[in-house]
Amino acid sequence: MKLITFKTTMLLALFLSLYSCRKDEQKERLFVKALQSKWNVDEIEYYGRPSGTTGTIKFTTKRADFESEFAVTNDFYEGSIELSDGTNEEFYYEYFQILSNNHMEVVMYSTDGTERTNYATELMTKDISVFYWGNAVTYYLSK
Amino acid sequence: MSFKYLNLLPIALLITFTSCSDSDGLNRKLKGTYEIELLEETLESTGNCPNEEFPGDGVVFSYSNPGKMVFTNKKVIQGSVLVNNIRPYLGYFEYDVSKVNFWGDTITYRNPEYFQYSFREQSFGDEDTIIAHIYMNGVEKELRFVENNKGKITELIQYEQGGFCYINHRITHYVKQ
Repeated sequence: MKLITFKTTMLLALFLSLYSCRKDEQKERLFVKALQSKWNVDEIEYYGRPSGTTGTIKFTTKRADFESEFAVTNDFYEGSIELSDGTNEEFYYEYFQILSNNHMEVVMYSTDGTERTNYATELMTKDISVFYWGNAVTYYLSK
Repeated sequence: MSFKYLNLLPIALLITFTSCSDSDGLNRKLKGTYEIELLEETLESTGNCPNEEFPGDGVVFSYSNPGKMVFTNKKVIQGSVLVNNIRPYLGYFEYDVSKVNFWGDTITYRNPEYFQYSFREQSFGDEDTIIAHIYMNGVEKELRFVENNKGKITELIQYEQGGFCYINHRITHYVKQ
């Protein structure tokens, strides 16, 4: 009888841990599903001050043939940005979760690999996103 | 030894799986737009501040800026903080005036100013009070919902404590009825 109770407890523990893992996967899936699309850039702030710059940014699902010594995942995708200040660039990006604070980070690389910028998600819903780079640059995005 | 406690298993499982949605009931009740008639921002010194501009206890500064406070039904997919692994909701402020003079400096409000929130009920003395935990720019703040005797929300009071010589930072949003 004791053995049966022990087995039941162990099964329950296993079930709960699997459920918790599934939730983590689900969180990442929701993030990727929301991220990979076309966003309006409503505002870019520099050091908390609005710049008036607007535009669009695309995070595509198309894989990029790109490598970088700084890569975390080595899974790169293509993206592009067009801004009202005349910026019109293509980039490669990867995304991953920072374990220390649960943030999702998107790292954008210039196509020649000379520049890279890490953006952490301050918050994201299905159609609103706030990305920031340190305290210096904040992107306000919407769909 | 018997299986008598196994009868509790379905209840335990039910509690486990529904605990993630504890705040959903309050969100349904309180979500929506609150028109803010008057906003008062107050700094109070609770300690001995050496600076002459913080003359001990009492109100140091206040000003008014009406607007609205919106509690949406949008779940946050990724946020700066997850409370008990619960995904919070998205809220935002929209102030009528985006620039105000604050203690000799000009503050520019972002419109909308997004925040994340989750609800819980808490008892203060004999009263049950609804508390929203809000997160703005990675900082946790407390937002207390004050109801009148008809259950209408009349005030939303945002608290933050700390900083230079223990300053209480309180923002009272008076809700238009």
